[in-house]
Amino acid sequence: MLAQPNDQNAFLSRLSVPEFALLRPHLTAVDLHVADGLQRHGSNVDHVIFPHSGLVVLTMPMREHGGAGAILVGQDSIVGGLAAVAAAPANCDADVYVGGRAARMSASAFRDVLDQAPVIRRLAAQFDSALMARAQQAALCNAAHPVEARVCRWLLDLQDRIGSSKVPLIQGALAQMLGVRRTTVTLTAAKLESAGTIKWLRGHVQIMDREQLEQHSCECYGHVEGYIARLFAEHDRRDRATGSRARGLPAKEGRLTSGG
Amino acid sequence: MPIYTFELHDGDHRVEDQTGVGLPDRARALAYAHDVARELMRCREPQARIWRLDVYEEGERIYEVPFASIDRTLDHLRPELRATVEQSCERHRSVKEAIGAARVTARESRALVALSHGKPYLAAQSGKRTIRGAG
Repeated sequence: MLAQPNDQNAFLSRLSVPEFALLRPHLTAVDLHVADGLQRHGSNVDHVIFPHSGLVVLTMPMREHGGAGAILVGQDSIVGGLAAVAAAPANCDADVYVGGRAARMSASAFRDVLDQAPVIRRLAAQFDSALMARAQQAALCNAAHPVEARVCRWLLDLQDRIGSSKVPLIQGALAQMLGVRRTTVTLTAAKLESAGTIKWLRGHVQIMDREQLEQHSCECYGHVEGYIARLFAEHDRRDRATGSRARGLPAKEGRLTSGG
Repeated sequence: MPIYTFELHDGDHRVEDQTGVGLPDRARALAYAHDVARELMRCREPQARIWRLDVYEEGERIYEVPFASIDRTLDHLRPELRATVEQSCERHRSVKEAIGAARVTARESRALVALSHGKPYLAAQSGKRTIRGAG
C-alpha cells in the first residue's frame, strides 16, 4: 500500500462513509509523474482519477503548437469522470503538470457505482458542472482577453492551487496552455518583471506582488471560483438539511487501497 | 538555422526575448514577428497599436514591425487615413519614450547632485542602476 497523502480529493471527501464504501474496493493508489499522459483526445477512458495532490492540465490538441484551451485539475476535481459516466471517448488530452498522488478506479466500476447510488451520481454531475464552468470561462477568456491578462490569471490560478508564491512553470509550457508563441509569453513576462510583479527564474516564477498581478488579470478567475463556491455551498447546505453530509474521513483513516 | 531575437517597444518599456527562435530564413522570421505582434495586440488594439516589435539576426536589426501596420481592426480605413493613423501611432510612442527618457535624466541628475553633496542616492530604472559607477 502506498503512503497516505496529506490531502484528500474533494470528490472523495464529500462522500458519506456508506457512499465511500461503494467506491473503496475499486480504488488503487497511484503516483502522478510530471508529463504522464492520463488520457488522449478521442481514445477510450479506462480510468477515473481522483488527484489528492499535484496538478493535471486538460488541453485540446491542435495540429500545430501542441494544444490549447487548457484548464487545470487538482485535488478539487476528477479526471475522466464525465467520459466514464457517458462511456464516451475522452474529449481532451490530460497530462500531469505537477507531480502528486491520486486514487484511481476503472471507468466501468465508476459507472456501476453511479448506477447504484443516485447521490454519488448527483455529486459527480456537480463536479462535471464545475469543470464545464471552468472550460466555458477559459473559452471566453481565450477569445476576449489580452494575453497579458491571461498570463496573470494563470499565475494566480497556479499560485492558489500550489499554495506557494514560487510557481513551477516554464515559458514554453505556459505558451502551449495559452495557445500562443513562446516569444509572446517571454515578452509579456518581461514587461511584468520590469514592473516588479514577478521574477521568472530557471523553471519557476516567483510572484513578487500578488496585488499587482490581480490588477493586471482579467475577471475570469474570480467569476469561475465564485460560481464553484456557490455550487458546492448549495450542495453542503442540502446535505446538512438532510443529515447526509459526508463525515469527512480524516486523512489518516486510509482512503487509498492498493487494489481492492 | 539562424537564431532570431526580438525586442518590444511599448513606449514605457523596452523588453527582449534574448533566447530567440531558430527559423529557416528572414521571411519566416518576419512572419513569426507578425504572429507575435498580433498575439500581443489582440483584444487591446487601441492601446497596443502604438507598440513596435524589432527583429534581430546576430545582433543586427533586420526588421521593425509597427503594430499599427498589421492591426486588422484598421483594415476598414481608406489607405490615406490608415497611413495617418500609423504615423500618429509612431509619434505617440516616440513622445512616450522621450518623456520616459526625460524622467530618467531628471532622476539621474538628482542622484548626481545628491552624490556631490555626499549623500547616498541611487537612480534605477526597472530594477537596474542607471548611473554607471555611482554609489
